[in-house]
Amino acid sequence: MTQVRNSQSTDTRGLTMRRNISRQKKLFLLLFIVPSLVLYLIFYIWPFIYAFYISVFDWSGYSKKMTFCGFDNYVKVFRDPIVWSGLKHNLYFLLWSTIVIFVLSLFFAVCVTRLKIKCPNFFRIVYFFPNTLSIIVVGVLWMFIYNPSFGLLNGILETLGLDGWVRDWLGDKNVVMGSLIVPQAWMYIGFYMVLFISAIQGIPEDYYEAATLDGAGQFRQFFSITVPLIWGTLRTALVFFVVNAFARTFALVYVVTEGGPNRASELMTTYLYEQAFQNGRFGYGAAIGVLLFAIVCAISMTIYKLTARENVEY
Amino acid sequence: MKTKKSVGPVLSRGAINFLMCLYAVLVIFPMAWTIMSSFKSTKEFYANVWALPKSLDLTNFTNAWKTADIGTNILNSLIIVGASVVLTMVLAAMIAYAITRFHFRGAGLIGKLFIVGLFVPLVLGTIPEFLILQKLHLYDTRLGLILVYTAYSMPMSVFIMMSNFETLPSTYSEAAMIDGCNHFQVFFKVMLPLAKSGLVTISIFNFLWEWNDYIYAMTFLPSATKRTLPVGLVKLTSMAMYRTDWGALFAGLVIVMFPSVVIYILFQNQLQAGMNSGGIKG
Repeated sequence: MTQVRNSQSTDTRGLTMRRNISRQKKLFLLLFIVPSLVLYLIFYIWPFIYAFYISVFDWSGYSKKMTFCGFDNYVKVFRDPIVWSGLKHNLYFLLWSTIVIFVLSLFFAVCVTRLKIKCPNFFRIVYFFPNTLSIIVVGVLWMFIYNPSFGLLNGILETLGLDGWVRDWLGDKNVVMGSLIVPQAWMYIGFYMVLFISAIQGIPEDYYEAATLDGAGQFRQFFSITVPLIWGTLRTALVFFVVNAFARTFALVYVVTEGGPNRASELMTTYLYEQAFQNGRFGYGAAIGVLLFAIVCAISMTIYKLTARENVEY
Repeated sequence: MKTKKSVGPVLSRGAINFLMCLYAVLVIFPMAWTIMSSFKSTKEFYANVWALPKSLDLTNFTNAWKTADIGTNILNSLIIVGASVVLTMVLAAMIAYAITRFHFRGAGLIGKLFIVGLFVPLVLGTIPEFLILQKLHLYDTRLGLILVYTAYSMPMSVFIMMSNFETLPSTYSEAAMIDGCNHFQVFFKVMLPLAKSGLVTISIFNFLWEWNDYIYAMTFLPSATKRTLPVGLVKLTSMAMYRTDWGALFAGLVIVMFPSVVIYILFQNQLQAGMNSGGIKG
């Protein structure tokens, strides 16, 4: 009898203990997941959904009055010539900054890792510097470089005797877009170079040794070993770049030219910001944002599909 | 021998070294020129924009400090960025630990939700974020900006912390459980110290972007007394342009530049390692 009762009580004790443990585990998971998730949902995920909702209202945002207007905002967006010229500028920016940044950063990454230059670490550290600067610092710095009366660029051109090239780099509507791509590239080349350096360093050295023995030169090695083996990183970086490019370009243009001169560098994003926060047209701004969102998603998905390759295992 | 001397038909070793050095100059020169100009008076600046300053005169720095209330801006930046970096560290580590170490239903889904966040274009978010902050009475408050920064840091931070916890062996936590530690003790006493490198990496990343952020700070926290350093610097820029006081402007730029460059130089090895392990990889 006593034995049975004893074993029963240990049994229930074990059960309550196990129940306690599972309750403690539940409490633990709740405390560890809920705060982060709630914060993330409210301030990161919800805004995206909310934007679609706002975009079908005629709303100043500062008043309580919200009038439902269906797709009116979208019709206006499609008829707004500034939206379309903004989109053209956005795409121009995207295309050229992608080409310049990816070609140069990949070239520098190969130089640092494969071409045995002197002091590779020095270049790796220094090239990243601009990426640690605020967009304000970069913007003001390049405003001085481009300044027409005492700017560094015109100064250098005059010293080199290239007076014909001297111009008002940010005030001339024909060159302003090109002038804005340079600071953008200057800021991000180092970041992508460091990323590609990490990827290239992960490739086993034997591949290169074997290729060298077979008589493959550096160019051949680059296209037949380096590129295929870091393809995954290149692809992710490209999609990541495209997704973020619109926000980054916005900050730079907003600081340096505010879309000028005479809207020559106006982007969809600067126009969106102006409409919402300066003219108080929040519904209209949100509609521009939704259109832009769709465009960015379409572009990045296309890139993702087009760059699909079979993964090379190593 | 030929393959050792040249790297291909077009570029010689010398040309490569030259190009690398040229770009290094393009990177360093504008920054060095800013630092140099911050010690020059406006008269000196106009006399010759290329010349070295006559002396290491700190007048510009004191002027920048006085006219633009840089001291208050720095304090605001330190409070906001500091609070957000710490909060992100705690929240990202906790949720990353919970979803990688406990196989409950929905764990994978939550992880994916954060990773998707990495690939969402942020431009759409500014308008609704502004309205949400207004509704929650967090618009133009330091707390509001802290929460926005923390939420925006989450995708990358959770992603890096997840890959960090995935690599840690489970033997440590099992041993601690047998020794009688509960889940909380296991996390804070055993697992968190082991994930130190991930915590350092995300803190540097988050510090750099939040310290430098201008757009969100300007949009969500516009009051003069609450301005962060980059927003204050824009104010200083417009004042300096109005008075053509370039010295104070350059001093302001140096004040913003200095902390992030120093942090980067101190932790660049850690940053490189972080990009190796987590970062953005395929």
